[in-house]
Amino acid sequence: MFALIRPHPYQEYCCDCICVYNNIGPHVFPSTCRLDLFLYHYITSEIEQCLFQYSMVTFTFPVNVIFLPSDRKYTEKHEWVAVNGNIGTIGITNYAQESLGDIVYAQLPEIDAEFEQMDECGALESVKAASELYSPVSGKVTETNKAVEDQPGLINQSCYDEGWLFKLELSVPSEIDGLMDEAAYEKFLKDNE
Amino acid sequence: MAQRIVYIQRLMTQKYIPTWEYQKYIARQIQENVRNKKTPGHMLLLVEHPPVYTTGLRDFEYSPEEEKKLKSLGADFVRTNRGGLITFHGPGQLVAYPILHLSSFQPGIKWYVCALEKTVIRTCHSFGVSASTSPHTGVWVGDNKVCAVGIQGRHVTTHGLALNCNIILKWFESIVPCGIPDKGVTSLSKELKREVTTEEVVPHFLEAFAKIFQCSFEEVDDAPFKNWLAAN
Repeated sequence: MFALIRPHPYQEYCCDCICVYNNIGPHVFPSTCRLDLFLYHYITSEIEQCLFQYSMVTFTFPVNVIFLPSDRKYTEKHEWVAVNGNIGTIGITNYAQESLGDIVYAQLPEIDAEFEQMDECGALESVKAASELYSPVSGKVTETNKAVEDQPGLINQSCYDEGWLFKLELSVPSEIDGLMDEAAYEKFLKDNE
Repeated sequence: MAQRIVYIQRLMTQKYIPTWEYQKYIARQIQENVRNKKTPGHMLLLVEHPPVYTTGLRDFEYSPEEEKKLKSLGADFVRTNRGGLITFHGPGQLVAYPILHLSSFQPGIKWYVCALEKTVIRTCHSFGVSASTSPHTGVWVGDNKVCAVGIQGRHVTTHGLALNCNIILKWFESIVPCGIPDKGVTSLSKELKREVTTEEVVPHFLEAFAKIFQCSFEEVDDAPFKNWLAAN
């Protein structure tokens, strides 16, 4: 049995988690599952035999885990961007959502708005505080996440998946290379603790 | 850790919009200082506003008709970029705008809101008024709000808090303060049954602020503000 996972502690997964079971699959995990910190350390340490423990799904059998690094890139202001072709999907990191607290309102950019890298492009409101959003890369907005506009709590519940904020058509794709990869971001968080 | 210095500017009574523009100007300066690896130059503005209703980011909850109605009472009406819903500022209310480079203190806006609330609670306690927080944020004496909090910025902060000292509370009757129905407002004067002016409250507030934010103050005169006003 194999589980291919992009690990993030406390983060919920559905479509990112793929399980190959008895050489049949891949299976997407049947419902939303949340990685606990213990499992996260297990996964990031090596390919391991371990017991899968999710908050909603429990695997009582040993499985092989393969660590797939995320292809997200990160900024020092705690945004992430995942690039597919020339479209970047943008959101805030788990660290950011935790430090903001319960988000009650998302003011996302207008479609077709154009931004330079690190321009202010929106705001998230939580606990009586409006926190500015920065665009990690330059580009033109192609889509905003309507689900998040209706239900801003999604950003807290699923900041890397359902809680994405908006998509941009990149105007300077090389900017991506200047952002931190996952390992560099983890180190950045640690150094700034 | 080296003692953090926060500069204080007392602006006396100033209109809302120029004061807001000035905050943004200082915030940009602080960002610039941080970028150039200089000391941030945190600033605390203390001010009173002529009557003004202000809304936060979710201003779509307040229609042009409502705006007109409130203006007809003789107050200004300003739609702002802070968190929180509608509130009122007027004479007799101590308004404090801490413009801080947040990660020089503690990163995290949740911490910051909480620290502001603690500062106000401590201020109230020093007058013998027992105040507390509630799930609605802001600071409360029982079911009545004595201080509103609404801020902007997760790196350098703008906006801040408004503590009712001897403000005329009637102004609040025309709105649902901070969007919370069934709750009232109060002031230190009302709680203590005597006139408590902003001048009397300021030293108490500063002492509490220094304690909670672990900083020391340096007072600067309002010349920078006046120069900025003249230039804009």
